[in-house]
Amino acid sequence: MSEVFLSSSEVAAHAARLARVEVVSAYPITPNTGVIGALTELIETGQMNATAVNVEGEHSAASVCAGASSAGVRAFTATCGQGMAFMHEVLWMASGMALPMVVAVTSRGVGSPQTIVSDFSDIMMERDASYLQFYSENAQEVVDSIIMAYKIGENENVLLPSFVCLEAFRMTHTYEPVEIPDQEKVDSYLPPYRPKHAFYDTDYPVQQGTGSVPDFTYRKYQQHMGLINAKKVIKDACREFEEVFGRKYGLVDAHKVEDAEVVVVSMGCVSAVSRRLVNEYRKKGVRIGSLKVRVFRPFPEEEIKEALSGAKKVIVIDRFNSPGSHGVLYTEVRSALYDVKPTIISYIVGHEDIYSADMEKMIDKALEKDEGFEEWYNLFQPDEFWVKASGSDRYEQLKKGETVERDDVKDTSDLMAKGLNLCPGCIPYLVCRKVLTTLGKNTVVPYATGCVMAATSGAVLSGWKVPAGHYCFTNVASAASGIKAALEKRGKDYNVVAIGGDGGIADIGFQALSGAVERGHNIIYVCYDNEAYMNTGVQRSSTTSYLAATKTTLTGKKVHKKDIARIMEAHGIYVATMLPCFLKDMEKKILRAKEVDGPAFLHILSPCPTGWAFDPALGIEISRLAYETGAFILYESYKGERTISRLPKERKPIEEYLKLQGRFSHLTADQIQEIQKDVDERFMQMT
Amino acid sequence: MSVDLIRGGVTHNLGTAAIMNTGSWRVFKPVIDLEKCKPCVICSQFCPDGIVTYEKDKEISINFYYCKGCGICAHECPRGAIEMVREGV
Repeated sequence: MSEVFLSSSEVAAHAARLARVEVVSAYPITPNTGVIGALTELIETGQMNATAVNVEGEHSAASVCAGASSAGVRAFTATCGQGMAFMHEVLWMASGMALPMVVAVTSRGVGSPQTIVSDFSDIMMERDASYLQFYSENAQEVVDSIIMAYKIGENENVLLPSFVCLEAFRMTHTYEPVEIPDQEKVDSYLPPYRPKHAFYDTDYPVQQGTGSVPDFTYRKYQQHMGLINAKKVIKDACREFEEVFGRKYGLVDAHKVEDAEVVVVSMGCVSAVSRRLVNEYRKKGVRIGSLKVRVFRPFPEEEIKEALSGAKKVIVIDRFNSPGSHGVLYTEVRSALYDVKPTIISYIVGHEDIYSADMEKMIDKALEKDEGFEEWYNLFQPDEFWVKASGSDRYEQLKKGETVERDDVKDTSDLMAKGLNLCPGCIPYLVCRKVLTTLGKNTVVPYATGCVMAATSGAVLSGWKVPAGHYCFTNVASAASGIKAALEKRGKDYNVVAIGGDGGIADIGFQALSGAVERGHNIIYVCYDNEAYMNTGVQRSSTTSYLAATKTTLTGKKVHKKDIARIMEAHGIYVATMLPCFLKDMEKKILRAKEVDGPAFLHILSPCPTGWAFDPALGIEISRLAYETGAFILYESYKGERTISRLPKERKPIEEYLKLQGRFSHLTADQIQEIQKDVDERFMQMT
Repeated sequence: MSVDLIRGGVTHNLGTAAIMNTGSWRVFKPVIDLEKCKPCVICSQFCPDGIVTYEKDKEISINFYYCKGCGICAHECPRGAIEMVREGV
């Protein structure tokens, strides 16, 4: 065993390696990116013998894992928040198909409003998905829980997938000493996966994924019983784990509860705070204990009842409140204590950080009061700044029927806000401004998740000076369809411009885009293509160039760039490709997009200094080189007729374009020649 | 504060990101040599942050409250009239 200093994200990847997972598939969403990055490194450096499938969305990530598990190998993914919501259908499918894969949940709140901070709304949303649910407190528990999750889930009496929860940032980005178990010991604890129920083999063919009417509830009962059986299997797995690795786990972790009059019940890393404080209060003579619920499904009702049977007061801390009801943990703990009936105090902390001082206040208040109560602890209170920034005063005037002065949007010289938190030299900032100033103020902008979204929608601060709205990563085109339909009903002839990056338009948002374009809504779609997931920290997308290095293609992407513009051409609409170095050309095409009848698609190559690793002064220069080398071809296409906008008199060698970018710095002379050949072929074909 | 925020995370006050002092990020500062500057306004057109402005009969000016010092203006200036100078040196 070796003790190292790692974050829970990296540790989760090591756990997958030690469990000899053979297929991993994940989609970048903050903060799961550390897990993906670590997995990529382990696989590309040959430390882990697995195939990484870099997909276009979480629905696919979960599907790849379910597919792999159904074909008889161990599969692993990591997700959270909106991404977990997008997995929803597949998660239920996988548990129904009895596929014991593991999902590391870097738990994060589900929006709107968007957040990247942890609360349990994502994992609790899947409370009833028939998954084993392990909530970890630290990196050590993450690695141990993932290894155990495979052993438990694969047991013939369980056969269910698992969630292992590691809280966003508090754990994913926190470094701590952790013991990474030896492979040999893990192998002795966790034998190879040899499923007897679900696999594909032509010598022994089986069919999976049944349809069902008469047996539906029976099948659900089977899943339920899998979880009920899991209680014993978990206990056995924990006992064996202790024998092999020397670390003790259970369904719950009870600390000084034997004689306790007051017990603090919690899940996740807040449990470490409560345990430490219990020791402090004990010194003062308070008979207090703490109970960590480590496994939430199956719910350890007997263990909780046993641990809390002597307590007069129980304090439950919830990271998620079921809207219109109560904290989820509180509700279940109260139900388990129906016969005991102690005074129960419910604190809902949501995604607030809970430090010792907070916990002290919570305990003191609970000790003082005789009755049980429910409190949203440390609830954000908007101050004058927030109220002013959100224009609440204008809203109040509007409600009263008064005329509202809009001095904030009087100046229309620039329809993007100044001061956006975009990197120095950010080309999409320039692109968005050009699109809006060309179209004018009668424009409504739905925009996809991405860099521009993060910068224009930071807390209460607005980045737009035209009506604008963020929906999801997947659905900007369909949300735009609804907006257009509603505006037409209201007799408003506004330009509707759906803006997204290559992720929101060509990858995860592509289904919505293709559907909206086929329906013929009169919308302009703008794709600022910076050729990777930049907002989550540079992971490859389907439009990443061939051989470009990203965090998920360390030695270069091995497949070619998806030609999104030509795919859109096949929809028979107006399509134009644009480069930021030719602003007049861009202006002409934006106006044409407005004039044409029906949908229009604008594709803009947007060099990204951060993701492509170049001097931020060179963004325009690099786009010019994309034109001069023929790496990017400027054209318009309408109803299948393609017109080339302009061509360089003599094409420069592609190396001129590549050599300024760090993402291509690893290329060999042969690889550069290979890219040159590709560029030449495409150029001949297109022009 | 008794007034609540508007439901749905809606804001009735647009462009408020402008309070952000992104100029504080700057490491290199663009300095314009007004004798070399025509002005052709290419720098203004290409500035990603839209903060290089030109008014007729006036000199070109940069809003340093926002300028992040990316250097695109200096690189694109056809007359080499903008120099990037390290801040605080």
